[in-house]
Amino acid sequence: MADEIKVALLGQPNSGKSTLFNTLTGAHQHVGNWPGKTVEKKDGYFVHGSRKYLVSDLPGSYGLSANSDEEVITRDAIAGEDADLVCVLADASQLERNLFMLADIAGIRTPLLLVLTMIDVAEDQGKKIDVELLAKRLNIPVTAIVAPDKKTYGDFFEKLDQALNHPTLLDTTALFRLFSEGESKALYAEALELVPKTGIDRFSKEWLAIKLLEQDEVVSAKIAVKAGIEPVRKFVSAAKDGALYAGDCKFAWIETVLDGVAVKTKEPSKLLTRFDRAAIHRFWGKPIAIGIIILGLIMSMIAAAPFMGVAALIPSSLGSLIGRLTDFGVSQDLISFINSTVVLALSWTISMLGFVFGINLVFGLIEEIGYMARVSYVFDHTMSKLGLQGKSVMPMLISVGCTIGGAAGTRVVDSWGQRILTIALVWAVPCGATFAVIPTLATAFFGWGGILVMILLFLIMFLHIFITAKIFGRTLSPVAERTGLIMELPPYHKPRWGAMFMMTLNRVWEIFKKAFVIVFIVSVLFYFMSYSSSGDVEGSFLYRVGRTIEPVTKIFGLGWQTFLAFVASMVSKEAVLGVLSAIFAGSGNIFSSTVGIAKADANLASLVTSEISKPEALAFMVAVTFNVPCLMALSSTYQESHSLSWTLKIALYYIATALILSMITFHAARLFF
Amino acid sequence: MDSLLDLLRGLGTVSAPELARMISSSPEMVEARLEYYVRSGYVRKTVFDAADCASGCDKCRGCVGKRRLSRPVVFWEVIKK
Repeated sequence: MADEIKVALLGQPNSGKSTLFNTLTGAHQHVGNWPGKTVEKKDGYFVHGSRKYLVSDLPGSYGLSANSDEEVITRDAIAGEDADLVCVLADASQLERNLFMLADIAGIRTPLLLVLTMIDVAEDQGKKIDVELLAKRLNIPVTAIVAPDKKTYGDFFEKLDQALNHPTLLDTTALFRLFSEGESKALYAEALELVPKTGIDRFSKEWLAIKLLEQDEVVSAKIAVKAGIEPVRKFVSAAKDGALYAGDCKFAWIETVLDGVAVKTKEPSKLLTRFDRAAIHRFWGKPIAIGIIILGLIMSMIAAAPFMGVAALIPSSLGSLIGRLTDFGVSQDLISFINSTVVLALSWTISMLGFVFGINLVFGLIEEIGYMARVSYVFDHTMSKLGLQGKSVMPMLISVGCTIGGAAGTRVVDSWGQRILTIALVWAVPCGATFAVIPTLATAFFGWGGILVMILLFLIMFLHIFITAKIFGRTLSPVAERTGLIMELPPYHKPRWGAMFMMTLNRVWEIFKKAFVIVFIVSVLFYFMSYSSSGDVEGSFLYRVGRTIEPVTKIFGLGWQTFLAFVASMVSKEAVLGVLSAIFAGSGNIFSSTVGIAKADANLASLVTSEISKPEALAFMVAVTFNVPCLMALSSTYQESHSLSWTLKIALYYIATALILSMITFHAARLFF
Repeated sequence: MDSLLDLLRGLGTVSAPELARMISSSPEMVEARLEYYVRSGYVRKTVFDAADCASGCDKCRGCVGKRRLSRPVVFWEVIKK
């Protein structure tokens, strides 16, 4: 019978260990438990040449500390007299991480073979591994395979024979030198004094000393038997950050080992690298981000223009078509109703869709290429000035899409007070619906000057966030001290145009369905509230309510009509268009009595703009933007905060600030218009 | 050899590429070291992924199933041990 060789497979999770085990042993496997443990034990065998190999698939673990049963079992199996050879598997595409296992096994006197897996993935990533140089540095055989492909195992079998015929131990000189020359060298020297000079079994004195530094309980107990409990206890309590020192030494060793071994064949674009440095620069990052956002808004409005054109044609074209229904005996009242509700709701919605399309496409592109995370990064410093955690910036970015998502996103913020504060700030960020409704109105009132309106709203948003943070931060415990936060920024990507267009069109369709229904329902509701069959305007419910509240609404720069639209925007931003649609182009009664002219059939956008002054329009847009985002956001805030009291406080605060901002805007705008 | 954690404690927020440049290392090495700190309890890792929201409002870019375009952002936060 052939020689029986015992081989143990060791590696971190997902290093390809089980794939190699299955490929080698095929059906010759036995699965059980390690004695006295619930950890799975997988053994198998294969024959190659004149040898029969008994293979143990050791539990996957990140290292060999005594943090779990798996790790203790693994190191005992390696150090026991059983294993003739340990194959350490390392994912070649993530060598920096995977070689930690090799650094952790260093000092266990067992012959090793390093098996680099996923070499194909590494090559795809543009990493070339110099296997020979690595083997020379480590003093052990090294081979590279693609674990699921047995055709790539030729070199593995050769190196397996080499490792068994001429067993070698890992060269640990450089690693242990780092320990004995580093910052905590005295502590390491003290540990070496405590451990037996010849080590214990296959564990060298250096390995034991390092584990003592790491406060490994199992090793500490073993050493205490020989060196005494008290000296070991004293040492362990002195080496509080020993694990940190050990980790730093091991990674410094890995860095030295890999120097010149792992070479990148694909260098990132120099232009992109320079841009990225500027994009995340403490000073230049902000103007670049603001510039890109403004450019994004301009491009969104350009993309929206064709939709606006189509929408403007709908009332006249579709309206005249519906007008012909009189030929079939349909009453004028019904035609007026259809024109004021269905046709105008359709016109507003299509007009709005232009901005939904433009903003989703342009800002989707910014996110898709990987720039959006950089925007959050450059504004993080500003967040810290407001006493917020760095992680708070991401929910705020999400809320550009939807306030509900932003509120839910605050779950990453650890402290409750910080979460509430972040939710309160998330409300100040205009959501997707606001980004659809407000540009529609801004373009209707100010034409291309709508871009300036949008920039003004952004400036007010920053001011709002600053003031809100100061007000709420007082009671919601701002972070006094911020220590180390690292943001992993995604690499730049080429945009997936197909997926982006599909996503944008999907969003446009979803918003169309929702917005049309809301605008239509609100239009119908307000149509009937403003209807007076007698023709007596004062008999209309809406007119009476409007006239009653107008002395108050005027304080905030809003007429009663725009004030009602402001109230409706708390339910949903799209409802604003429904209210305006119904009030200004409804039955004609309210409108004609209020402004003295019957214009029910005119183009609504021009009708509204001709009857609302520019200062009032500006004040109205400010009020709507910074009002309660919608009822769903209110509900989401309650769900996330679990506090009715804070939910109501935030809502009342936003209603009050929206009206105050509206008043200020109105009076300031009167200086210019 | 510098203690990366000591350096992090003295910094505010820093991006992974900037940190790698600061210590003349590769982003992969920085990530490997941060993962070790996570296992040792010195650092907390948070993945911010819009898809985790599960509100199903279908408004932000996370909630669109296979067509999702949002890219998760990973935060590593030094914690007091």
